[in-house]
Amino acid sequence: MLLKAGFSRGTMSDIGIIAALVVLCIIMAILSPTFLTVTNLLNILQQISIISIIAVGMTFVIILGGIDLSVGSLVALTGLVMAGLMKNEGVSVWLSIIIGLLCGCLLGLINGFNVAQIKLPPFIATLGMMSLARGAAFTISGGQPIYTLPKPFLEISGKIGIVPIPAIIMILVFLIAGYVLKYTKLGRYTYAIGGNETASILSGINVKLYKMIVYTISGLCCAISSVLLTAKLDSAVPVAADGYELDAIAAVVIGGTSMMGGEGKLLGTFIGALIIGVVNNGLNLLTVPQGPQRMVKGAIIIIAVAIDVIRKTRQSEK
Amino acid sequence: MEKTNVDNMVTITGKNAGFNFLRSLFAIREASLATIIIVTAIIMTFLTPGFLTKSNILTTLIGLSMDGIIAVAMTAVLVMGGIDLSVGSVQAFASVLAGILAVKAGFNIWLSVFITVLASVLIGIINGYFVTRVGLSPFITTLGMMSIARGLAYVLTKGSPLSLGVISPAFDFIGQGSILGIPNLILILIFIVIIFDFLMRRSAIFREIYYVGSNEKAARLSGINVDLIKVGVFTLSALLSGLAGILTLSRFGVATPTAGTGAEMRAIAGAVIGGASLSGGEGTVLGALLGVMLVALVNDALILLNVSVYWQSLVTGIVLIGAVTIDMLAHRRRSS
Repeated sequence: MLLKAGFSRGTMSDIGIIAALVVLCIIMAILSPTFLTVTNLLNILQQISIISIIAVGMTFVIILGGIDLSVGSLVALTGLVMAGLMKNEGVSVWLSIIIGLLCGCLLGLINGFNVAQIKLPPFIATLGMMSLARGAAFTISGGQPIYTLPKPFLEISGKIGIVPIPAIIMILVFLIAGYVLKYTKLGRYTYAIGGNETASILSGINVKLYKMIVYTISGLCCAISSVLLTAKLDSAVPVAADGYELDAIAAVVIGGTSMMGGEGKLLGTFIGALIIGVVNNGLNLLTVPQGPQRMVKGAIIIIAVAIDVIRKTRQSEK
Repeated sequence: MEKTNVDNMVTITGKNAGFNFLRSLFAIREASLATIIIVTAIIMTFLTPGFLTKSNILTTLIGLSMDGIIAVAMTAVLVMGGIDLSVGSVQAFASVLAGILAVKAGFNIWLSVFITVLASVLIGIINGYFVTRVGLSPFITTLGMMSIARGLAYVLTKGSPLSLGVISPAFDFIGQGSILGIPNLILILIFIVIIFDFLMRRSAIFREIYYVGSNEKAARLSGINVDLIKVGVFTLSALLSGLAGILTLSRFGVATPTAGTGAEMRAIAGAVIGGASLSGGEGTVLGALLGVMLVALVNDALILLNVSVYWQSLVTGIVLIGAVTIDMLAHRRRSS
């Protein structure tokens, strides 16, 4: 019962969110002639790749019933580690990337340890890590950016044909994570723990272990995202990815994942990220200044979720 | 398991009454927090001569006064089982709105302040409306409001700070003056903390916030108007954040759209260090103030010790995790 809930729920709510996305795209297409071109649509995919990969990890964490506020800081820190290794220490590009990914896993594991073993509230554990990792990023870089990175590394943000590589990586991450969430023990236990932790413990699930794994996944996603961001900017800066945690959480929640845990889908997260991406892209195409841009973004987050909530309550009233 | 119980028995019976008194004192989070703060302060006094000076202490207190006021509001929201991410943006919006009305629209400064207070209340009601009537989660509602209010602040100022100039000495006095050598901002903070600490402990209406936070269904069934309480708490939160914005304007004489950036995190951290639970039903105003003070004290210590600014965020993170961990472990020992 518990495990099946994740499958059946959510199929209907996807339709509502997809409808919102389509409406949004139509509005943007009418307002801006350049919106509905292949180049621009591929552009949007590239733009959302960084946030949406973070949002993949965030989806796992939120389904588990937790939250990860440290993601932005982890992106900055792992980016500096990778860039520092390949630029200043002469480590090869691939080895630097692998070390960076491991570094992300380790930081995620520390979050997981604090949450699972010490039993800190996830909000506090990751809020602390948010400060800590940001501070570490400033400390190891001395506040300076690291730029002009090796060519092979920068090619990660290039294109194969007309398709941006970051978009391909993003889709791969979604497919793998979707498989894990839906068909593996890890994924099903994540739903179970988020749905009812006590019941999960009583039914013999090693809750602590799976919590640590899920936070590690979130750390890994941050590191992957960091590779894309650093390659795209051709620099690693300690202030990078500031505030990304809220964008990622917004993508997850717009996608229909409940903050209470136990339900949610990666497809929803992808659509949530697309909605945010389309809004950002559209507002930029229309050259809307920063102030109104923020207001529109805030309003759209509220409206998108409100429509979904109202529709759900109507459904349950019937 | 049995062995530890026996050990505990031995320690309890083996010590005198004074120890038991200390034990029960430490059961109160505020007492252990205050102790940590005092110990840190004593260590700092030995390490740097600059710490125990009137100017340093007053500067630190003024620096935390805005976050402190917001933390009071945040405590009420967290106790209710909600969260308010829009506080820092409302602070910026309020300071900008009051400034614009006074400078650009030519309103009397007090009228501007009054309108700003109303606008803040309106923001709180909107937050409360979406949470209670539409049924959005507080996180999403206030996340959206965070963007909207910050956006409004940018729109009103077109992105650049706005100087108030010499408009009203009486208004400047609020944020810059002092009474009997104590800066007004500190007095206002103390006043707000005392009032709300008392209300949250003693007033029947404010106690209902705890009921709502610990068991919403039970609160509803026992006849508490849960929705009204929720709207009220979000309104209080926006009102106090708006007040912080007005005080920021008065203190600096400049309205900046970037004011209060990150205030939500500092306030939440302070409230949680001070004993508030993110799942609602727990927390005190005094604890939240002490939590904010601890973080500010550590930051001040790092500055005085000439620790590079790059380390400060790192240490703040460690203090946050450390303080809550110590408290969790203490709780667990007590309950086992």
